[in-house]
Amino acid sequence: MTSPMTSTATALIAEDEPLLAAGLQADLAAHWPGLQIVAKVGDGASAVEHALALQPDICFFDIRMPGMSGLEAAQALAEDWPESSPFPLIVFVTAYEQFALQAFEAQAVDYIVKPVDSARVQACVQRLQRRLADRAAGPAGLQLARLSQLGTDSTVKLLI
Amino acid sequence: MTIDATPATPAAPSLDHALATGAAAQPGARLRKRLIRGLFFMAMLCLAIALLLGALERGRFGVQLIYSFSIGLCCWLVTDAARVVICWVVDTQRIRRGDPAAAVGFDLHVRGMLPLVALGILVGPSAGMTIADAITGYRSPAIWQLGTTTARVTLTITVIASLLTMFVLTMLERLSRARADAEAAMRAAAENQLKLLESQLEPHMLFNTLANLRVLIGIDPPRAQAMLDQLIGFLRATLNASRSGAHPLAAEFDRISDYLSLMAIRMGPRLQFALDLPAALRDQPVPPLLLQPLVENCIKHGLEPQLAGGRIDVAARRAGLMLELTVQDNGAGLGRAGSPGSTRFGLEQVRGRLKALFGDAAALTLEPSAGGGTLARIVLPMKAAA
Repeated sequence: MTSPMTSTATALIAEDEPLLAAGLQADLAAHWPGLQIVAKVGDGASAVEHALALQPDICFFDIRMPGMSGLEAAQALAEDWPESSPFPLIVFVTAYEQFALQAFEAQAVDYIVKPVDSARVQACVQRLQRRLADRAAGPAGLQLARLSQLGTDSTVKLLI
Repeated sequence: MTIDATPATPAAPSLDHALATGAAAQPGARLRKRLIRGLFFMAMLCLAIALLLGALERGRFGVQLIYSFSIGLCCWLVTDAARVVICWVVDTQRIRRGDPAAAVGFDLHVRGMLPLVALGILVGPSAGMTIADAITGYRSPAIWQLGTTTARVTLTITVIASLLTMFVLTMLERLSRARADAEAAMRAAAENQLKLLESQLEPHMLFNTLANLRVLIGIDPPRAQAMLDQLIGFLRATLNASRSGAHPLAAEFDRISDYLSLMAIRMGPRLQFALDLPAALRDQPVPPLLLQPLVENCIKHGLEPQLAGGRIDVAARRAGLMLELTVQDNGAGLGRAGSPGSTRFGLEQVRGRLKALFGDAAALTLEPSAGGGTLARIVLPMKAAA
């Protein structure tokens, strides 16, 4: 089993402000050296195009972008994504808090509010790694992991 | 779907708003205050009358006092107290119905008062004398027969005193109403100032700018310092401008320059800009914070939707006796049926301010620009430099 720090994955960043895209890339590199950024784009339409072509494991979407927004891009991606490969994990990175509910409905894995701080990126990275590991373990492995988690969950113990 | 920060809806004049800002009549308190004030004035007047009559008749001051107070109390009950209670009932009913008119306390005007005063003059002396008779044991002559001097004097004094009381109390209330209006106006002015500041210092703009600054500190510290200086300049200018009634055009242009520089760092090559302010116009006094909504619109509706971005030109020039300020972009243009809501809101605010300050002498227009894109033009009267 690969340890979190050395696990590898691919990601796409969609962010219209170039400094913030560079900043996110640097933060991710600091917390997850194994993560490879396969594309950095500046608008929603390019994000969909590149994601379909490159099939990254993870997509980081800004919400407010020229033309198509990040939420619209996630939706378009879900509609056009081929059934054969697993849908990428989506993380929204934005200054606006009001889209959290829509992001949740779009089944985002995380929603990070700008300005992004280092600890928050680390938490996000851990969440992503866990999700990817679960996916790699397959459905049976997932059930086992969940059951063992339940055993240590004190809240559940109270109910049983 | 274009995502825009929801503009704040202008507060509809509502009862809740009025109650919250203290402009509403709180009926109970108002009733108490007016009753006490009326009673006090009546007591003072009755005392004065009693003293006068006591001096004239050289004695029997105690008896004069009893009669004076009894008559005064009865008159007061029928006129002033009745008026005040009627107002209280109307106010309470209005509040219960949620009627916004309850924000201003109801009051009887002179025409409404006269019947009450007449009633007071009719009822007061007889009732008062009956009560006083019961207390003192005297038997007063029937007042309306006007046979005796006492009756005539009593009636005359009652009429004069009633009219005097009504006059004085009305004046006093008008004074306190005027004071309350002045306070409300000052409060409204302070609120507007705060709203202006809020509209110019949008939180998302700040957070995005700070996010960029954070990244820049790590990769290019000298540029980060320059950016921070621009942010400080922008914030300081915004705070100062929101407090003052006018500032030199040069200060307005400096502020817009800082703003556009910050936006250019964020948008990278997608924003180019230039400012043109002739030296002769630098000291022209202008209302503060006029240009920012126009520049924001250009960026939001002209440049941001375009992948390639574009260019903004801000210029000032003299046109005859008028000062002309233009903000022009080569972006998406007016034809788009995009979010008119927030465009209009920012522009309406500028239009409203121009109208309040200059009436019809100033104008804000929006027209298509020669190279595609939009031209926003503000025209306002030139002033002698302060």
